[in-house]
Order: sequence, then structure tokens, then C-alpha cells
Amino acid sequence: MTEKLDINAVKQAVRNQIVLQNFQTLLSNMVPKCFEKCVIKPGTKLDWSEESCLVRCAERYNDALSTVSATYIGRMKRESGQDS
Amino acid sequence: MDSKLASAISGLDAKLDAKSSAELAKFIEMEEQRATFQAQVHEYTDLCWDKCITKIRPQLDNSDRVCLVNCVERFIDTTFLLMRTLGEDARK
Repeated sequence: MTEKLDINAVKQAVRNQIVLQNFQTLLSNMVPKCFEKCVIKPGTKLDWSEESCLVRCAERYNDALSTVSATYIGRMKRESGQDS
Repeated sequence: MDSKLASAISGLDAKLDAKSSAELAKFIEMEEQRATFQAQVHEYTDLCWDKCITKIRPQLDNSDRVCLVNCVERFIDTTFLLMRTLGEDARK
């Protein structure tokens, strides 16, 4: 009995793994895009204007992600409506 | 990642009773679907950001948003069109 797994613990571990994976994908996609847009001529450190641009860029990337997600969901709904 | 996840889970089967095993299989299927959806959203955003977001503004403006919507819709249209084209070629 002691070797039986707690199914809820397994589920939580899977969910955590997916959240982590999702975050890593977001970061590895977003960093090069915002770096390219905001850090035009890399200096000895990120200056104030570069930092504020990067923060805004990250916010806009998240906005874009939400817009894309909503559009994709809408399209999937339309496509499945046509099939039935 | 999905297949790795599936094989890791199937290794757990021995340690679960039949009911839990079935419940877990259903759970994994749902989570895989969600993960596939999220991966697709990341891919579209990656692609459409380059086409649509030319300037970082305090907010996405309306033209940014319209471009993103069109970009996703036309990418999906492109996928369907090329699927049909390849299908027709294969039948010749």
C-alpha cells in the first residue's frame, strides 16, 4: 500500500512541468525579439531607456500572445462548427 | 516533450490501481492537448510579431491588433491551402 502513488501529486508534478516549459518557451522567444528592438548599440551596461523599452516590449509581447491566442481559439471554434 | 511525458507516465502505471491509471491517462490527454495549443500560440506569436510589431508602443494599437489577427488567420489559411495542394499532387 505504501508504494501506491498519490495521483494528485502526479497531476501537480505534470502541471508544474508544463508551466515551466511554457515559461521557458515564452522567454526564449521573447528575449531575442526585445533585444533586437531595444538594444540597438550594446554599451557597457543597459541604460535607462533600453531598460524601459525592454519592459514595454515584454508587455507588448504578452499582449500579442493574448491576441493570437484569442484569434486561434475563435478560428478553431469556426472550423469545428463547419464540420458538424 | 509529449512522448517523453507519456512514457514517463506509462512507467508509473504499475504503481497505480486501474481506476487511478485511467484517470491519469485522461488527465494526460487533456494536458497534452493544452500544451499543443500553447506551443502553437507561441509559434504564431513568434512569426506574427516580426510581421506586425514594427514599433514598441505604450499599448498595442488597433493596426497592430488587426495585423496580428490577419496574420494568424492567413497562416492557418496557408496551412489548409498547402495541405489541399499536396493532397491533389499526391493523387496524380
